[in-house]
Amino acid sequence: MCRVKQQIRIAAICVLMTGCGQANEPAAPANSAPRPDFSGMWSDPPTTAVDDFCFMTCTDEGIARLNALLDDPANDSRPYPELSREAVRYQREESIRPRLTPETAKAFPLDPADDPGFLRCEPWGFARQIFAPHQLEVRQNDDRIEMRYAEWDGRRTIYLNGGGPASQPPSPMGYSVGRYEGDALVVETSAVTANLAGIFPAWFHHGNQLRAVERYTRSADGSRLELTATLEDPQSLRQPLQFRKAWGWAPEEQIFPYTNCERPTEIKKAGTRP
Amino acid sequence: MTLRHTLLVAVLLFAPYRAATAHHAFSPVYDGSKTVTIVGTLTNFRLVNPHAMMTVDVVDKAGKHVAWTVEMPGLLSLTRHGWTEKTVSVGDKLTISGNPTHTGSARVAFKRIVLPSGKEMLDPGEESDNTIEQQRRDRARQRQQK
Repeated sequence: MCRVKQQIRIAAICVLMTGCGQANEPAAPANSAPRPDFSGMWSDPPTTAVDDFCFMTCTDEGIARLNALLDDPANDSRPYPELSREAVRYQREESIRPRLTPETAKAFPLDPADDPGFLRCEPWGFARQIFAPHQLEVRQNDDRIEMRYAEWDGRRTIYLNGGGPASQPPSPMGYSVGRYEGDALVVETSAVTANLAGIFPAWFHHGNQLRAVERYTRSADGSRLELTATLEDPQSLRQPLQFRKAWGWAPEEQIFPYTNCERPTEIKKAGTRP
Repeated sequence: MTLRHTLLVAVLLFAPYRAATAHHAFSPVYDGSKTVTIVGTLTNFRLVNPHAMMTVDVVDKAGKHVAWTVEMPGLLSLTRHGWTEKTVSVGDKLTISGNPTHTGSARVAFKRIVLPSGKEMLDPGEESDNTIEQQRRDRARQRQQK
């Protein structure tokens, strides 16, 4: 009882003196909670059917279709590549195409012979680069996050806490602002110049009003980095389109120089669409 | 045609869009439905990104020397599967199988190679396919046992 009285007295004195403990410290900023840690090197996840299917992005409908095919006893004698191709076709025609505007759907999927990255060694824009396979190196700072991709040695900055320039002129990689939401990093990107979205074989032209929301989370065991990216673009999409992608924790890997892109000396156009 | 050859053709015909060709699709240049095999002497090997390259001196039926280009996956994919710059050396006699170009030019997309030691190196994409195919069979077997 005496102890309780003593604690009350101390508390009262503290209030009067406004100098005890944390009572008078500045209010903790909203983002002072431990931020989720994504820093380090990520790369292609261990080989599984779903991760192979999602190697160049995928949709939830595509994954569901692949799993349904794998679980159907009628397919027990069909090799995986055949099932994967069927799921790719389904994803392209039933998941992606219905979300495209009529104009965009006409040219979908694009002929791989028209890929500017292939024809002219032109680095990918934002809506392809964020789904790039192989390594992704993440560096988290207080005011920004730097992401570096092995493919094309692509780099981007994500500004945090309202930092960064007030506005940014349109560019291939756009302007990205981010925030932490619990265990997730949420990134909103705009100011992306018209370019290509997605990666072969399910890719299309997007306009200059593309907006994207990326949500990155880390698996409970820390071994995977999961991305869901929702794209909106009035020129190419009738409704939002969500892609998925995953990386595996790969601290031993490094990003190698990407300096030997060679333009093709011979190509076959048309008829090579998937 | 042996069973092994039949299986090889089946795998090549139905191979999905392969991870190893992430930089761009191979279909505008190479015919994925066909395979060719060349035997020649290595004159150059560059283990680089986005695609490693070999040049192989092949003597054709008329006795003429033809420089073949072998396009391979990138540095990362190959090193992950055991390749180093010392895996092959200039002067090595190599047997290489892969997809020919649509035009029939002296160029091939690597699928497998037999080194002078007899060791066979596969396209990383083909190795992944084999892994997943085994997983598929395991999954089907487990379902059948329930």
